[in-house]
Amino acid sequence: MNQGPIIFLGVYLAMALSWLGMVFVPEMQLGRMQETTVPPAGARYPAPRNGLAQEGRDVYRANGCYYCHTQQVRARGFGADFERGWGARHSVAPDYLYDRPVMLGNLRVGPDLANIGVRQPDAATHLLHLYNPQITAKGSTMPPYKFLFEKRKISGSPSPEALKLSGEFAPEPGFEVVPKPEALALVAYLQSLRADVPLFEAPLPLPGKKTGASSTNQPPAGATNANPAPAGQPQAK
Amino acid sequence: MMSVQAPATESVSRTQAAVPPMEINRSSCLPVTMLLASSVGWLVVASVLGLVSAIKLHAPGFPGFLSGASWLTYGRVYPAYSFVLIYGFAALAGLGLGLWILARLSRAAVFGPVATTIAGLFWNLGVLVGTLGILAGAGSGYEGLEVPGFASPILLAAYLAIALCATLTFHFRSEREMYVSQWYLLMALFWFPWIFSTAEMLLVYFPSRGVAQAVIAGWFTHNLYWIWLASFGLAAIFYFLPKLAGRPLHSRGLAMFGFWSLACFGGWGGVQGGTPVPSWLASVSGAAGIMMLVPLLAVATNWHLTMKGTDQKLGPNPILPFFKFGAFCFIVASLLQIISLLRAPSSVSAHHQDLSETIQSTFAVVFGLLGQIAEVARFTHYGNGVSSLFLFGFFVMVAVGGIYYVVPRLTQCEWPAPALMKFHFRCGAAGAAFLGASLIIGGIRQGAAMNNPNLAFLDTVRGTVPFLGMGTLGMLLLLVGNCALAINFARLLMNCRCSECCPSPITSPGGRA
Repeated sequence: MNQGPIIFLGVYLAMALSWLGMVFVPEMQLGRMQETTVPPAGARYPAPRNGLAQEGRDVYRANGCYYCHTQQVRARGFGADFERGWGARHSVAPDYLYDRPVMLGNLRVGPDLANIGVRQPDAATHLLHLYNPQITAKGSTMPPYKFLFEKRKISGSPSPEALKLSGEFAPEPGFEVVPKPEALALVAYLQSLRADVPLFEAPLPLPGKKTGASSTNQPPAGATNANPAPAGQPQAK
Repeated sequence: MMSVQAPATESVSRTQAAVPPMEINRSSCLPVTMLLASSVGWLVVASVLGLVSAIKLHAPGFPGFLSGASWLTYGRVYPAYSFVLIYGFAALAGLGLGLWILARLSRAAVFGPVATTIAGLFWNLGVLVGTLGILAGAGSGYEGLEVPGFASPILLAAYLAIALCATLTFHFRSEREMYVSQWYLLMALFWFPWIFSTAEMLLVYFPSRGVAQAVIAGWFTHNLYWIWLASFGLAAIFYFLPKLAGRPLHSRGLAMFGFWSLACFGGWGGVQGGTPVPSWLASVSGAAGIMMLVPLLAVATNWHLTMKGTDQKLGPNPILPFFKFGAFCFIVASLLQIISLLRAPSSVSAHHQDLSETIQSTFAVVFGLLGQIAEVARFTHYGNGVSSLFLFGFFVMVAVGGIYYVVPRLTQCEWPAPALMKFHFRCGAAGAAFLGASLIIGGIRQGAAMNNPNLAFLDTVRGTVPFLGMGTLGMLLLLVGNCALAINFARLLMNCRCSECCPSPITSPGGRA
């Protein structure tokens, strides 16, 4: 094997085959996916995110949220995603149709966020959690995102947007903490993360059927980061 | 292998006149020294960023007054660390060492030393722009391809120029006999522009629709590690290990087998089970992962038989341990990576009637068990542990060993503090082992806790903190070791009378040269 061209040709062939198999074919299969209609009303799914949520996706990307949070619920039997109440059904390809970039994530230092908009619809709680996670989830290792907020002197009447902070987290008297536009956009994005529409390939479990996932979309009060599994309830695994 | 003469039967027209070693040295001095020196600079930057991100993972308030700064948030420091380590250090060190090895084995002067040096400077510029972009929040959103869209054309153009010069160096070789390292280097030089431009086009400039992005990003990262970086590292091991042991490589045929099987199976991967994409992709990745055992076994056997029985005969050598440790870590990291690609079968049949079925079901049980490890390891620190072991245990070790070997020969100046080599090896080996082991073991424990729905999620996170602390210790050791190299390198360059031993190819060499 002393011929440079043979090496080049062989390597090129190997490269081209892997490109064909892992780039071209998936692109053909997935890259032309269209939105679908879902019963009963025949609504389009997925609906594109609204403008503010799209801006929020950029904040999510810029600050690397996807390095610690996944956005994918695995099928029943893979891990304990259902039992933890991270989604009513597993994630499927159409859920990500309009996302640029798609940030599935590979590591769960924090909980999965594929359905955070269902679990925690309250914007004020999200803002408190972003400002300082210790307020809403004591002991969390999530860093505070104070640069998404502005601490300013109260001039005139306090802003209605100001965070309701108390105790050790409150700013000095005469000051208030208000979210910057980035924080509001990020929260809009988090609220838009909800893959709870039943699809043909991923139906929702029937209510009443004992699956362990039926009551999991109810968030425990004030616990965005904590797992809602009650200790006494038998879990299906 | 260096002493093999060009066969006399070689056609005269293709054979260049043999280039004297001094000439090879002179042509490679400027580009290779520049590439290696800048790579060591980035290695220190990457270690600092890695240490900061490692600390922030278990102490989110770090570093005190700066913890509120946007550019120091974990989600920007970590990708910056990963980008600087791979594109700043690994690429430059791989290209520098590769160019040197290629010129030596080809017995040819480096083609276009000035052009290579300028292209290398542009690559450095691209890494700088990219790093600042990531810290400013312009990261692309894909792990392994963090570089912002505005920095990638600089990187690609610089890479193409360097790769072209390296290929032409190889083309004008006077030694027609090719050695294993040259195959791997050609693969590395050639593979990167394809995967990088594909990923940039289909992810950043004209993004695919939906989850096709995730598949392409996974494919790119897999190729980046297991073909591109692996090829650079393997080329160095195949060159330096037999050389330092004073023995020929055990088997050229086995090396060829290993090379082609890596080329065939190494590029198929990157999709793990449970991802919301068609499941055949995960199956293909898993099957290719199992097939990766073939090249792994081939190179491991070859290295083992080459080195067998040399321990007693060799005197103390400060550089050989780098390659031995790197080779060992490559095997371990590859095996751990293969395990993480397996899929747990839904059910394993327990009844077996004849021998072939017994063997089949034994395989099924073994792979089923390993597949369960993969399921536990998914979404935990396990993956980062394996890539840390690959990067710091294998690649950095091998590249640093190569730098320790090459630079004194290149500049004709000795290391000012040779004792630091041993110190660096100890720090690097302990650091890589600490970092990799703590993340892998901590990751498996994290996964076991995460898959138990009766444990609160926050407890699964708190449970990893002691392991992440150990990982930080490993990162600190790595930083100390890499600083030792940087100090040694800086002192060597300052003390070296470069005008005498390494005349610049721009100005004509003085009368003494």
